[in-house]
Amino acid sequence: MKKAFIFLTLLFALSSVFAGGSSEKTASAPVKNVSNIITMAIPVDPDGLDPHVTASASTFQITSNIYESLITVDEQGNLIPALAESWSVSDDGLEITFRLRDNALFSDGRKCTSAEVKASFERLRGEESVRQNDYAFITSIDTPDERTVVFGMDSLNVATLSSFAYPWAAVVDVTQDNLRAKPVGTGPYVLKSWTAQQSLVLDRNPNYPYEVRNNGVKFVIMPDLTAEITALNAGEVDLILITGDLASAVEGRGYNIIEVAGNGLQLMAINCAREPLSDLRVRQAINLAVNKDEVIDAVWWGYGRKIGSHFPVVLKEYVDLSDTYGYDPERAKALLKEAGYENGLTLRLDLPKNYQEYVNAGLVIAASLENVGIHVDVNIVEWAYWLSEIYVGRNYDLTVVGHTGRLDPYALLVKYVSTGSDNYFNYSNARVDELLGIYQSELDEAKRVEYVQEIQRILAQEVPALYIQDPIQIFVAQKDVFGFASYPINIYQMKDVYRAR
Amino acid sequence: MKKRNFSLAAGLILLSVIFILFIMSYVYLPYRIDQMDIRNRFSMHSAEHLLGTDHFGRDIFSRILVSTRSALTVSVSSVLLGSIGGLILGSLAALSPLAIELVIMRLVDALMAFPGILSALMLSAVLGKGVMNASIAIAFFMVPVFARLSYSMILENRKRLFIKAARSYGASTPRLVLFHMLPDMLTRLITQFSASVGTAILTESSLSFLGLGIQPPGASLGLMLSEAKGYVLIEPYQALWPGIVLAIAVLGFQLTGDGINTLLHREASHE
Repeated sequence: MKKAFIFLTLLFALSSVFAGGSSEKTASAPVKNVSNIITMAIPVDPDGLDPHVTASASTFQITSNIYESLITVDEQGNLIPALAESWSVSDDGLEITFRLRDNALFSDGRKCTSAEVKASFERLRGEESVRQNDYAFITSIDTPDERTVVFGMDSLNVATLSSFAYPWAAVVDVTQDNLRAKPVGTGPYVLKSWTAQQSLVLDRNPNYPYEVRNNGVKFVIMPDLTAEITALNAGEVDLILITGDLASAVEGRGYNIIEVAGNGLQLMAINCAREPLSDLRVRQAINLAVNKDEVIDAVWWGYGRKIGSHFPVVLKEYVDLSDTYGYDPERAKALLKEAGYENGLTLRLDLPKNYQEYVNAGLVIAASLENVGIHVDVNIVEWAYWLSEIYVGRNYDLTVVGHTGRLDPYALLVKYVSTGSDNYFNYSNARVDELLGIYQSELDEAKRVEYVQEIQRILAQEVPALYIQDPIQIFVAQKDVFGFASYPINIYQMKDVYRAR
Repeated sequence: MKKRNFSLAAGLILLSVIFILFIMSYVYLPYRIDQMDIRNRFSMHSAEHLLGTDHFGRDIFSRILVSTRSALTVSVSSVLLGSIGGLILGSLAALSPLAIELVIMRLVDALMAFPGILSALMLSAVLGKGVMNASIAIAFFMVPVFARLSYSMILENRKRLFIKAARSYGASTPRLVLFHMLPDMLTRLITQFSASVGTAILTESSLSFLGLGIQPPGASLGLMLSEAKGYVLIEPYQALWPGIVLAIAVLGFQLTGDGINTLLHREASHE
């Protein structure tokens, strides 16, 4: 039966390769070109379209097109106007004033004034919101006039402004009682139809004042990446997002391939509290024994930016430390000998089963470590087990995993505070603790950058993890579809996507 | 008059292929199965790599050789375990008072109604992953088939004259079963055994395919197929060799079972 299945898959694979091109021309292409509607394949159905009550990253990729936050980010991560056309921060940093754009309207025609913004933020901080703790820092919201909103805070936090740019801080029409299914926002699109597990269609919002370069967007839900590629080949979808391990299936076929250094990190965490691994020399040896370029090539087809510390390439504070420990198995062996492990040692490597890329990376790393005399017991575990036993329980030697990026360096690096609840590395360094402590209240931008860079250097030296790469996301579009861009936070701006004549 | 037994011949030829691979895996292994050569991945057939390399540049031929080990050991040991269990359960039912017989056989019916792969999945989820547990899980769903078979054969044998004769000489029940009935049952048990091993190989592969059997970086046919699945669009031939070997193994055991069966029937009709 399995054999039959494999052969069927092969058959489909081959037939799509040979027949895909011709059927595109005869059947679907003429219909498609008439309308300027962009079809994008996404892997999961959103869990409701209310940005205040969902924590799922994939949902915000859609809600960021229906709602607007007060401000948003451009491709470089700079803050730019959205619903608010301008803003200012008071000198003591305890007050932020936003000025809304003139005559802002919700998609149902209701006016979006400062009172609506206030109500929306009250909802975000309220009982039913999943983000209420994130926005607890706001102590007062004042609305001196229709277009001005003033947020007051009780303590200084340099990351405050960026928290108004996240898609979950979107302004919603609070008078609607079912935003999950009937979203009303000020963004470029309105929801036209939504068939669960199949598709979600967005129409243009007539009340949106800025340019929208297409007539609507259709998201089709396709959980299987190979199916997405097949659909792209058949001309059924215009835009898909794939990972590097599938890149070779779309290369050299005339598609628009947009490579974006994602804001993320993939690494092999090392439990610094465990016996042989608490020895810096052993951790260094592990780093020296692995050829990161080879791992990136093997698992992600080279679509990744090698890193040497816990910091994504796209952020401005990034320092390139990727060659702190280059590939040098002989030195690794020497270090292991020095540390007293010349007869080899055995470590356990736990890999999360549902992330095939991490499993693959783990297998390549394991094979490299074997070459310097470190025997690795590979143990593939369920995600729930990983979260409870490894991340929370910290009961592991080595594990491969990814971390999603943040705009705020503090949120990224706070994992390394020795008493931190997320410090599953069990890492402890007094200087890092000190730097993170003063970072939060430092107002001088240059000094903050300096602190963050020093932490990066310390981590690169002391290697509480084998830092592998900042993954590159690959958006693949039909050859006549342009305008797609990627942002340092997980949003899609579909209004800029268009089909060339 | 004498018809050729094609299925037996074909089955034995296919089986010999598997056994040659199996023996070869102990005698001569071209590469270590976890030895990677990333730059040479997805290479086609060549002198260095007889069947090419997989997505990590590991030698597919070596991995297939090692795969036959787990395929054979897991399946044979699990069917052995399952058949002994089934035999005990079946004879117990056949020789017990009606009440116990009913309880045992309804239990076996219930087990039989349960899809084999499902119970194997469930068991290996409970017991944990790995070769031992996969064997136990597969053995578990082999039990009802053998229980029914031995049950019906003992009932049948009980009425036969040589058994009645032996009983009249005062032979005890265990002795009757072990020395008088078993030799007669053995041929049919072997038929069932051979066919079951084929099923067991398939189940072991399915479990490994789903990530519950052999764990990476080990090698198993199911695991190889599962790993090849991710690259089926770009490098489809990767799935080819483990698929073919799996087909040979399953077909080999099934055909051999069939062949033995027809052989015995023919002998029976000659009597």
